Amino acid sequence: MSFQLKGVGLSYGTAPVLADVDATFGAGCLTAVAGPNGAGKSTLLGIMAGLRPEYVGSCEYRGREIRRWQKRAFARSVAFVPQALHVEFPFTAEQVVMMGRTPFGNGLFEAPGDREAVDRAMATTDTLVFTGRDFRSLSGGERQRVVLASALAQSPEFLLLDEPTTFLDLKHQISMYRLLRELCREGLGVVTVTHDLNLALTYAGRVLLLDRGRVSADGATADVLTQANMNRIFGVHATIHDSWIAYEP
Amino acid sequence: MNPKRFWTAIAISAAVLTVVAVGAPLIGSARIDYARAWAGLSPDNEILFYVRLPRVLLALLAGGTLAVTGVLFQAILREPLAEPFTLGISSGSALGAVLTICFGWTTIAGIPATWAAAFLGAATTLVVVLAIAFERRRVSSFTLLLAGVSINSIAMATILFLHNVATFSQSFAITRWLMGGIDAVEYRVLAVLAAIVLPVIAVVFWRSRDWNLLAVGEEWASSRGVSSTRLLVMGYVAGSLMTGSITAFTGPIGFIGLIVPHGLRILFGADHRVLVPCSFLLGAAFLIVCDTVARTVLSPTEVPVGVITAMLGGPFFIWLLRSKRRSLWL
Repeated sequence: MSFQLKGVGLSYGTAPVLADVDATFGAGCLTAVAGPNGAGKSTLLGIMAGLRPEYVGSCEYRGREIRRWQKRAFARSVAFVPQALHVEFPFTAEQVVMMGRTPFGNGLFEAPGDREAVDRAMATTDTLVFTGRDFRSLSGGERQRVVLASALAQSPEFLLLDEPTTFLDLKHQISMYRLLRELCREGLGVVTVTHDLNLALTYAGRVLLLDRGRVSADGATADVLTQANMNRIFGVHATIHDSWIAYEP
Repeated sequence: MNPKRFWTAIAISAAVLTVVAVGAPLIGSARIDYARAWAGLSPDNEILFYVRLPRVLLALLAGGTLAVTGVLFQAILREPLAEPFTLGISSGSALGAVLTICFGWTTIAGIPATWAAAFLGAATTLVVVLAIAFERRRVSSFTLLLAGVSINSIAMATILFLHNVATFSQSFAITRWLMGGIDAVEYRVLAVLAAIVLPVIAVVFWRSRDWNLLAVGEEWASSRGVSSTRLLVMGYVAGSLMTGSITAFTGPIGFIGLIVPHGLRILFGADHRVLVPCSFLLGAAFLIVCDTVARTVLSPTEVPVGVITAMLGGPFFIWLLRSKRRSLWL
């Protein structure tokens, strides 16, 4: 298993936001992490991405505790896509994607291999048309795809995404999840935080539900996204159809 | 970054600096005969090589360093309006130097007291301003700039106060710290100054790709294998060192770190591999031009160069502030 979490927790001050999380995440599987606001989804992802080294318990990637990984080596294997990226300076979309090659480079200039990886990542995410554009001038959804391209340019073995479809239109939501599923088939491990249970139902192989900082359900998508779980965790009346969920308050 | 684009940008900037640095010593209130100056004849030789040239060289070092410091602070704070003067660091540094004059200290642990105090003043101000502006590892740009303005006023008021209680000769020495100016200094001193700031600038340039990441975000840098905490500490130390060593010689000169990097971003983009070296070259050219104006516009008397840069930089700052107001109030 790529990620092995045992008793993982994190507190801000005295308030625990995550406690006693036991889970494993392997390659080739698309896992959706869902739960109500404040359930600790982003915190869990942040711990796995190596951004919250102050966690308690044990969170290992490939048998080594995350905070003991050398940062560059970790970044060559695990890529993280943040929820939103606000940039103050006029970097072009291409420069933003090229930043994903940082853990591979030495010296001031990129190597030819970096160029290829960037072109491939931008082609995969349908962002080649934005190459020379100022990142700040792109729409929210276009930015999100460019940020995904930057993560893919890291040629990762594991991809962590924090609500990647927030700003995407319907068409790009679907192509985003299709792409993630495709990447999984190629052997990548993908964990994505999402609020969209319908997309999870269609594309995720596994769903992990968090509630108030604890794992409340974890397993194959169809076993987890049940009427009972929806009522219990989200407090809505859900009706599960073949491949979609309808909710009522 | 395409190496060809990089070298083009460097070549253009270097050409501009060369023209300015060669031309500026030839301009001045006294008419000099260049044949006599080359032949070593007095006073033409002294005016050219011991009055004008050292001054141009100090302006070169100071302008270049202040512009690089601006780039550096803007990257690590992710704030396009940050630079030594708007953060209050220049004034804090000047206050440090003025205190040593008032206490009559000349050396601290073997190094000239004004240098050491200017560096300590810069570092202390930076710590204070950041302590005010940081909230849960995030900088509020609004608080940051207001803190800078406040520290600026406090430092300037303290300098004015010390100026009033100082003896006549001290008061004369303090005056130049109220508004920055470039003076002719000995070549030996220029060499020491260059030996301090040029290696720091070289290190800053060498980490350019890391500043790119940090300018986007700390988590962004972190998830690409760059240790942002170490880089931030390094940036703050380098910034204080550069501001302190320049301010020790020139007093607070404002807005170079704002005008030059901003113009360069419009010309060449945001990549720090171009931004850092070109800021040095064109910041140097910019201050040489300002200083040439300062010493010729009211000749034979002089205007402090800080007055010129503030008159240009103040309105520019307001324009920048207005153009980013939306994000400031968000």
